[in-house]
Amino acid sequence: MGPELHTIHGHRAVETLAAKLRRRQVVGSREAALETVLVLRQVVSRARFSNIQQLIAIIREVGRRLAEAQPKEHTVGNTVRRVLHNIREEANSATKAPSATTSRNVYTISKFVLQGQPRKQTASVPKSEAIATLREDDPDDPDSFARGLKPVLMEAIQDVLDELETVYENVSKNAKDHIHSDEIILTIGHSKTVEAFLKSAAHYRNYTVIVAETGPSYSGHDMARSLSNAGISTFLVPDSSIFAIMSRVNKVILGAHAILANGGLVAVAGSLLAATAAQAHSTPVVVCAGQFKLTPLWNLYHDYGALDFADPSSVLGFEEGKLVERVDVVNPYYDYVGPELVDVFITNDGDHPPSSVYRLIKETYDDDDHEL
Amino acid sequence: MPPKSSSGKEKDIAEEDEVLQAVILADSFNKRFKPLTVGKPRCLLPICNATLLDWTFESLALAGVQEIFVICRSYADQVKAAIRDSKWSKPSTGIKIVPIVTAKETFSPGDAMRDIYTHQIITSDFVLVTGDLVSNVRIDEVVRLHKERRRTNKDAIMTMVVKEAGAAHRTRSRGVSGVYVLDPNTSECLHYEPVLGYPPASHVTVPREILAEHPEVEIRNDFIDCSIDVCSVEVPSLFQDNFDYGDIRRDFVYGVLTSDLLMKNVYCYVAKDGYAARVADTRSYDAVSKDILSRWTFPLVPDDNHPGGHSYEHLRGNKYIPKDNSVSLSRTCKIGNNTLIGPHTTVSENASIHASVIGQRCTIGPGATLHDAYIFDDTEVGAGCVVEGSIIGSRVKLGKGVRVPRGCLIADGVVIGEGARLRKFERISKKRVAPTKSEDDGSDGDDEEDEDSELEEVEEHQEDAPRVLGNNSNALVWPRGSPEDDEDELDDREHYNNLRLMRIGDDASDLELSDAGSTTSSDTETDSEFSSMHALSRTSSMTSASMSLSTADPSARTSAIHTLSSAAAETEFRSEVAQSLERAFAEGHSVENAAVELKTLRMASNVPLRRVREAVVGAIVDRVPLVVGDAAAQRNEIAKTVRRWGPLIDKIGGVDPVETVEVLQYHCAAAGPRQGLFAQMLVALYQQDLVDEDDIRAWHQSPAAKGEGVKHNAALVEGLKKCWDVGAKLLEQLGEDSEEESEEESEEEEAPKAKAQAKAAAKEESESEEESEDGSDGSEESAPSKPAPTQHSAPAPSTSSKPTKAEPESESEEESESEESDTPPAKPTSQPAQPSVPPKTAPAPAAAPMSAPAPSSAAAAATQSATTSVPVGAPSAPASQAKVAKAESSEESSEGSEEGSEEGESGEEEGGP
Amino acid sequence: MSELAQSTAFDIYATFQQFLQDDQISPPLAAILSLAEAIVKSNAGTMFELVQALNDGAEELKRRSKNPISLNAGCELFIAFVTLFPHESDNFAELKKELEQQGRTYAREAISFRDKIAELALGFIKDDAVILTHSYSRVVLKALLHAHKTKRISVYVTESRPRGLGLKTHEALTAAGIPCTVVLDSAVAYVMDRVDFVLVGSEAVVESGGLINYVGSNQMAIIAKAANKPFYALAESYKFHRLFPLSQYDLPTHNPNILSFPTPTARSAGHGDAPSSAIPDATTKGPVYPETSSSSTERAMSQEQIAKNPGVDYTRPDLISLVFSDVGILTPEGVSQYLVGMFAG
Repeated sequence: MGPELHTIHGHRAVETLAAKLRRRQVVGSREAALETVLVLRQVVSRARFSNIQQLIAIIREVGRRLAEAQPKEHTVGNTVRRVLHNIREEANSATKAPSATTSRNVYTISKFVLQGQPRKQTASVPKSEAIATLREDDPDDPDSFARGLKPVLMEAIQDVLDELETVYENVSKNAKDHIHSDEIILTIGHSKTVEAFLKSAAHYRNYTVIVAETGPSYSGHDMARSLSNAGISTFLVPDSSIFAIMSRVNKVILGAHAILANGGLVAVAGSLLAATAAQAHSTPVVVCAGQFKLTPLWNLYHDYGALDFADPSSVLGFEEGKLVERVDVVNPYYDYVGPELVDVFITNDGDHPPSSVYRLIKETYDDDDHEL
Repeated sequence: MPPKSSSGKEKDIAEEDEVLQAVILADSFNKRFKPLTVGKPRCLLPICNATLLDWTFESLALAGVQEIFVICRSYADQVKAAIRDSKWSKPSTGIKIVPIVTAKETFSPGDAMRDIYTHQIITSDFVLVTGDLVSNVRIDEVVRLHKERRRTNKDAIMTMVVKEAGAAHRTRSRGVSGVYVLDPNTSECLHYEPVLGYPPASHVTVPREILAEHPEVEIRNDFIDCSIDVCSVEVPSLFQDNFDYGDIRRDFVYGVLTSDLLMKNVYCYVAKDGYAARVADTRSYDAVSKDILSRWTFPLVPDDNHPGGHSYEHLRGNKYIPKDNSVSLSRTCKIGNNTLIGPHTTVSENASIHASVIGQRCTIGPGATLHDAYIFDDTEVGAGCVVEGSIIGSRVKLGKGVRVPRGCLIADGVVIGEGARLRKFERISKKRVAPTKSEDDGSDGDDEEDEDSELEEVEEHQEDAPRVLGNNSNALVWPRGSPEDDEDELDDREHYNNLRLMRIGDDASDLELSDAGSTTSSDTETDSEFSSMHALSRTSSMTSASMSLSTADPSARTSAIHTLSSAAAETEFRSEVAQSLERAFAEGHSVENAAVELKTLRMASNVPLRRVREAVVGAIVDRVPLVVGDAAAQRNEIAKTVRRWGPLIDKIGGVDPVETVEVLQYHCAAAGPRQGLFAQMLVALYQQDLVDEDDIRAWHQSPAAKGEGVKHNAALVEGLKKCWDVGAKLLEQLGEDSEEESEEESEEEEAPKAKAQAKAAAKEESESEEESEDGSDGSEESAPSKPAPTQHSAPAPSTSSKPTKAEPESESEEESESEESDTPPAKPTSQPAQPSVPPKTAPAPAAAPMSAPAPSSAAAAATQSATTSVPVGAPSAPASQAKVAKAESSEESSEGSEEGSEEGESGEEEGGP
Repeated sequence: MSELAQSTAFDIYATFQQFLQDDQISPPLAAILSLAEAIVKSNAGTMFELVQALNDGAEELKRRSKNPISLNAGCELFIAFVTLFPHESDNFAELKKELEQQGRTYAREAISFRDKIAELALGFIKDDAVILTHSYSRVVLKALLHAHKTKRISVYVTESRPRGLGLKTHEALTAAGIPCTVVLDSAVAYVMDRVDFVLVGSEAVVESGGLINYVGSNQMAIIAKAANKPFYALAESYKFHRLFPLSQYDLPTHNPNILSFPTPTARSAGHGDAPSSAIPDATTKGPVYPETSSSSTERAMSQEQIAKNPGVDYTRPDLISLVFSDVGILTPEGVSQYLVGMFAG
């Protein structure tokens, strides 16, 4: 049903990004998200379409391509969904909201179940009436629609871009309300968001951070370095001692790779350990993440498959000749942390409990985009 | 150097962001995968359900290569088709792939390189890989380093990527590997020694000078050769010049490093992280598959970035099942760890698959058992079959209950009858349908032909085929390669026993991988912390043991062989040189042309430089017409000749005036009538600035100059003596003033006076020599270990460096001579020298390491004096890094050779504190 | 008065029953259909009268069926729809016709909901999965059979006394070639560790996100929670029920008879020494009469004993991992959103 990729303008850029994603040359949620938006902007700006469905089909196709290229980078799919969502809104407000006009005659029970009481619908009608409308599928000039719409669409995409670019500031803008003086914070891994969060808190508060070194990647080392450079008193501890230390910790702050619809999250390996330890000591667990990490996926196979397995060489050197043949070395890259272990998500718009992540996702994305 | 290359060099230094080119040698120039590679090039064999070529492309794409040349020979059009149909040909990949078909006469990588040269496709530094590479190493990083190096040192022509791995690593080729001698600081590859699994190598020869010049060297035998080389533009041209270079490592690298003609350096890039290995043989096919399945190649793993474009799902225990539920697994089948199952494959009840790779659209019958099996597409494995450690081609049909034990290779389309029981290491291919098939695809014609011929010989012995293959099978059983098959014509790497080491599922435990020396190995093995069935490591334990004792026999034996071969080579060489020079003189060639001719000659029959010099000097001397009586006329004649031809002496590659003088001396001394010419020749050379005072002095110091080591042949000794005295006299005069030399030689007969002067000269010499030694030590000793004595200052460096060059030359020289005329080796001869001039022998060891490493032919000298034995297959990384400091080098030399003993001491004397 | 005559002439419950003959039709749908019938039959001239008639019909259905919950969900949905249906049409007869059509069309497309749900559930069913399910549910059965096409699954199903519907599931699954074992309701805790996840159908899903299902689901959910196994509920959207029970006893099905203690009879008086607390034991088999229990091997509950037991129970939302519905995969919280959308005035 969707158009073939190679017919889409700017598919070259798509392919390149897809290849980069596959080869892990673009890594990190935000990185991937940004790249995706840029590609999408390019695609939309060059796309030829005479009604909104065509455009959406195109974007979906691109999105599918990218998401398939690297299913482990959920933010790619999220960004596409986000863009689709925004574009629909813009288009609906630009053209007459089709649902409102048509709702009367096609109003059925199932619609009623889905959309609730009709009043909600009709409420939106007058608003859309007010705006000057664009004619879709204009026979004599098929491009008129695109021409009229593109500026707004660009706006919409730009919004997504802006959000991504300011995400760190927004997440950490009220960090000082979460971290109090003389607290001991434990964190793991090197999440840019958490880093920004802690640093901004450091302007107002004087507190201590314990960084778990996060083997085998040891990204904790970098984290500790950059924090101490920011003048925060920092401890670096081996992952194995997390549980023991937890009794002294006031808060555990985790970064996230992706936040799942059920309020669980996928985070760097070791997070589960930290979160569980925190629960055992009933220490609050705070997760800092931008909303672009909200993923309309469920904890499918969260023990395997959905998680990423890096190469074993960081665990066992390849030069360990004979050993390599005898043992299977496994190096999981992410943990799945269930919603019951998390107290609050601090996102770039407001703080949310795990239970309301579901609602957030409903608001952020359109249901029919969940499957790209 | 051909001009082109140099210009090219300029170019790539100049512009930085040019396209990164890569060359893939898509042809394996051997038959290790036969019969799987019947009717199909190796690079199109699938590994983990993607063709080797795809893996290679992916590896290169990872490095951001923009332009790839695929050099294909056999089945070129298949390769081309594959490239055309692959995703890589899409413009969106941003990679330009150019298949290049080379002549059928291309029989080695070397030929391919020459082809590349003739195509003139290489515009800058390029990446050279083989068509069977699996790698996730950041090659672009290597390229960057390479280019940086090039900016400072234009002679760094090549960077080899190697991967650290234990000597016994499964992915490391047992059959063909190499020992690398590296400078740990610059990671320059100082020396490379190819090593064969069989016959087991017990020693490598490291030129002593390396140990002298580099305070610290690593000798590594634990590298996987990834066969990723970042080459400069001139590399192909080098191949072009040296038409005998076949293999890239054992010929090219070895050649470049040992040659003293082309002053080029090769560097190594030891890939710390990342994975790279090539599927060079069925054994490594097994290993690499396993590495891929256990994700060492991440992110090149089936579930992430599968080159074939399949998408797999990674399940607990490294099982890979296609994402689309196209595979039908019966409820009762067992899927073991490290298993990959291709799309649309069916696995029936109670089948058990373990550590295997199954292709697409295969059918695994009920109750079949697969263990370490590699099965290509569309193959049917019948009920109750047992397949172990074997590779089975595509479209194969195994009947019910067929047993395929370890190491079998079954080619495409074979049908094996019910209940057949194959023997281990059976190789089976399909009967030819009709011998007419060579027509239909023209370009492959001659492939087919040689294949046909091959198949014919296969068809000869089919007597036991039916018994093996069961009834209604369409297959041929290939002869089971045996030690007595024609070894001479195929080179020793492809020797049967060596191939065994590269064969899937063959632990070669039965293979007698020990030589006379390693009878001791069995017991040393137990205590050596690295005991294993591994051939190299076993012998290594032996050598490491024998290191401490003496390495007499093996080295001696090898040296003997060398001498014989070299002796033959040299005699013919001499005559050829003589002729060419004759022509040159007669037809009045330019010196340059003559020089080129000599060079080629020399490379053809690979002889040490000294021989060439001898020949040239000799020729020149003989060229001088004798004018009896009239000294002046004589002098003019000589001057004329030397002016015309003297330069040639230095053009032959490597300038070594001291040697020149010495050679001259020996020649004159030998040639009775022309003895008298020596002085004048010397003067003439001096005037031509071919030699200067220091050179003469140095020569004069050398024991050789005084005729040491030449016992037999009194006449020669006599002559040498004379010449030496003359030299002494000349020196003396040079010392005061060089005008009066004119009347000098007129009265040169009056010996006594000359002698007196000589004595004087000698005395003063010996002092200055003392200094020069220390000086020489100082200059060689880059190590701060030795406090530099004060008197090093003014005279030392200039005077010192050259003489030290000279002596070892003479030394090794006289040894090799004595070797040939099998007198007991140099020890006794060098004895008398000791008392006469005690201080003078002292420099010998210090100087000895400097001796230019004679390529194999001079190895006689090398193994005797300038050799250090080094354990081959030394245990993995840490153990194998022999850090050799200056002082030890002379010690080792003492171990390396019997006669070196007192040198060893003296070496300690100076090197010690 | 004439209206009454109408309603008597048209026996809504009979219609309901006859719709139920089709085993594709579940009570809520049947209810909707029969209400749609009622619209046609009723001679109501105004919207108000119509709604009135429908409510009466719903009442009657509830009164006469022993397990009114699920059909009630259907009734409420339909009535709410009718009341809220935007009607400008001047001709009331037409409107009635249209409403009736709506009912039928919905029932028709509702048949496909189960396939939708099965598809959603498929994503959660791994290869080689071992699944525990409870009693008999069309949608669960559908999901399992659908999964069986592509995945190798094996199923434990509870017997679910007293009606033993588990056996029905067992037959269906084994017929389809899915390995299936019936376990005692009392063996759920025993089997739980062997299980990858629990999959149950539902009578209704209530506003709290909780689940009303055949009795035994609650304990299953509690055990699953204790064993950290996911507990998934499958429910078509017409089973969303605007109800907010806080405990088992808030369920409309609960009546004083359930779990009531019998008044002491002469027989038990004979054992005057026996503590009154032992009396429920007296009715069931128990340690009170060791000799008898040893004497006869098989004992079954009498009808009135069964009558004292609940037919359905309520499972708290916090025990439920996810609810699979034709409107999508929901967290228990998500369910309320839809109910609010439909009913929150």
